[in-house]
Amino acid sequence: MRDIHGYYLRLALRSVARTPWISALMVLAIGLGIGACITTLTVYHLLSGDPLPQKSSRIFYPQVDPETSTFVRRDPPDLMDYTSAVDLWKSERADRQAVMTNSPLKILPTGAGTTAFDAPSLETTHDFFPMFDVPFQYGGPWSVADDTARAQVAVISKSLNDRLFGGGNSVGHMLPLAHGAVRIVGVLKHWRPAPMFFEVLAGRYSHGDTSGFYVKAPQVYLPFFTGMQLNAGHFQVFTCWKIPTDTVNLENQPCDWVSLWVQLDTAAKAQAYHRYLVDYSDQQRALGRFTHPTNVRLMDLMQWLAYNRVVPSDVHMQTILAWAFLAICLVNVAGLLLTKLLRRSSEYGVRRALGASRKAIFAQCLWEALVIGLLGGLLGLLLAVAGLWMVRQQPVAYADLAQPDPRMLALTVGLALLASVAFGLWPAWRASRISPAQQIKAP
Amino acid sequence: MQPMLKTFRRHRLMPTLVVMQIALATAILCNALSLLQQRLAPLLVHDGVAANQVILISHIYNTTGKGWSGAQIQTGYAELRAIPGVIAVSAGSPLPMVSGWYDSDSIFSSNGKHKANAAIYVGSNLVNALGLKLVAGRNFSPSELVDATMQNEGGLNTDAPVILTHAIAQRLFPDTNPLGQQVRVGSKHPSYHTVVGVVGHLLRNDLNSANQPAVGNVLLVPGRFIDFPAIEYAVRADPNALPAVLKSIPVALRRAFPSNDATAHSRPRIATFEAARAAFFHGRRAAVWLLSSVTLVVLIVTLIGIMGLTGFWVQQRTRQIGVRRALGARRVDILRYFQTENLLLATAGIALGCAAAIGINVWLMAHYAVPRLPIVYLPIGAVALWLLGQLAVLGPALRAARVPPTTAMRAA
Repeated sequence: MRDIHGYYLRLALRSVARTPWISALMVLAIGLGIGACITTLTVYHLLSGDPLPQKSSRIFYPQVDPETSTFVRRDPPDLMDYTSAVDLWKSERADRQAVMTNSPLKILPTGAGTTAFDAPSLETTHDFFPMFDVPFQYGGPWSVADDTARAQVAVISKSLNDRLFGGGNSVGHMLPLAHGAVRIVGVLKHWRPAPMFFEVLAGRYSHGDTSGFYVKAPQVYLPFFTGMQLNAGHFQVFTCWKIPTDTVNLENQPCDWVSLWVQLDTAAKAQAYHRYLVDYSDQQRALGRFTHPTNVRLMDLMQWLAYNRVVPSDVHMQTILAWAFLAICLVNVAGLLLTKLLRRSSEYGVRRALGASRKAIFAQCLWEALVIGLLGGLLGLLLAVAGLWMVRQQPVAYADLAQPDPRMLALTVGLALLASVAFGLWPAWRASRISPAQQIKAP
Repeated sequence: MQPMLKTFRRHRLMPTLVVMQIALATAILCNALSLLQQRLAPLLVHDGVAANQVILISHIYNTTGKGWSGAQIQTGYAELRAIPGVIAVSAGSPLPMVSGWYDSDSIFSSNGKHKANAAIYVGSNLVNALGLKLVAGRNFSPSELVDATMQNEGGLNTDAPVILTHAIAQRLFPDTNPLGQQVRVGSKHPSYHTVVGVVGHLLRNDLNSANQPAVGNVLLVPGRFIDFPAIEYAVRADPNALPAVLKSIPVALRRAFPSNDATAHSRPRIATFEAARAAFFHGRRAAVWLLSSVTLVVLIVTLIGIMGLTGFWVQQRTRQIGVRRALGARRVDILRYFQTENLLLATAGIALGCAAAIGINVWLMAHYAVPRLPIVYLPIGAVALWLLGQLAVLGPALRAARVPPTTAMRAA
């Protein structure tokens, strides 16, 4: 059996070699189609992936509606006001909880020839690190006590540590800021969640232009309440439902600008937490702080990402376009292969007359499709590597993520086989239907 | 016609394949062209800004929470204006190409009959500083400048006059002279604004898919900024002095907005309009290249595919051609026969393809931020595929026409 297929393979190779131009054309068309598909599928896969695969189903994003304006939203705002976020954080009803907001933080490196620069920073609480499995190179997170004690400490990213301390263990060193310095307690390993899920919001207002969700993770992490003091005036609000009276100290302002993430280890706990959010909202309305009807949400991480339609619509469009392109290539190659096989009708007629079964002709023709498909796949793989290089040259936040990936190889083989069957099946079947008598009679 | 249809019935394989190829190509071509046009349109619209004269300065942020005072913004203006070679300066916010934030709203004509979405640019002297061409009316007079603060939403809660671009003026006042007419901004602002001028072109800075048909809709408001946390400037200079002006700007800005102040943490960005435009459109240009190469390759692949199939099918019928020739058909009859045959198949494919194109578009609209496929793409796609089909059939048909009548007799 193996031998006979080896023989078919040899026949197929010979047939490919006999019509080099038409074969090259077919391989090129399949290669272009497969290359486009692999490139876009790789990018799509990278961008639509689960940034926290081991626990994303246990991570939740609570939302309440703290606004008091006459305009009532259908969906609660994407962020909370300070009071609600801190209340919920303090209640410790979840297994883990972290409040967070971000700001640009001015770093003033000491030493000659250095200039001040802004680093993206995240102001959060202790649980952020264990909840999101943030990997540490040196040291570790600050303690729970540091949160409320407004400890002057910080965790920094690998890239900032490389820049300021040459990659050495900087735990215990001071990080000089515009208003005083903070002590470094931890240095992260390379950490590149994609998307940067804990800062994803307002995706449905972005008209599909969501590549900003794939920026690199913050470089400095400060305890939330420490950051409130150190970097006051640099925080951005999502929206204000009344004109704020103070844009530096946002704590008591009618603005949504703080997010809360919680970890809830069981479905029962998630249900209980949802109930707690409803109770909290009802209670706040009873107190007169909330005025809108209770409208709470508790989406898990992947639901939140889907709600924000994180994958940029350009990437969606390119993926769809690539599939359509592959389909066109397949139909056309099917046509070319069919004409090529039928041109050799008399050869198959002779083989059939000499005793070859229809199945044998069919197998032989399918082998030819396979050879073309696999050669096309090989070309497609090369084109995909080039395609990813082109994606990396684009001015988009996810450009650095578009790296060739070993899974592409499996994808190529899969697509090549699929393509071969798709464009080869029908021509092979047609060729196997050729009646021997008629073909031998023909000139 | 009759024998042709009979042929299709007898040999279903080849015509089916050709129809499928053309249908797929039509469906994809229509959608790809529509996407292409969407990305390309803003690149082709005249931006209205004077070429090689304008420098944009953005990202002058004040994060103390108070915002830059009116005096500071005025000092910035005076420092920039004093640079030799500078013709005009305007504080503005937002500005085309550079602003990271948007201000847009529905604009209503005073009679309430028409509305259109537009970007709103507020500035003290934008018409001169951007070198915009007035096509009707006049520029704002200095006495018309209003205070633009965060509280009055950048001057929108005043009765300041406005200047419209030609694009939005036509939408709001299709059958009247826009000059002297009044507009209202959004549903929240009660105040009316009198139109005093119309500029030829200007691009909005929020070019997302929703604003696609309205890329040139801009409303200019004469505002003098007070207590604004983010300020931008447009500077117009003599083209010959531009490089020198570019060099002098950082010094001028430092004098007006002291950057050693630890709180003013963002470095202003300074770029010529052309550079800012190139950067702004980079992604769009890449998409245009991608879509046009895909379109081109689709056409080439289809062309080769149809050529291969038709060539083979003609070859298969060599004997019939010989018979027809022997029975008196002229060469041109044979040629016309295959051309007509291709036309019929292409028409069937195009009809299927157009239906599929609409289907694909409806599906895309339901799932992604894709606008409706303009109907005009269907005839465009149809004509393209008809021509492509005729081009593909020409070679095989000519070969068929050259078949000598004796072939019929020679054959077995």
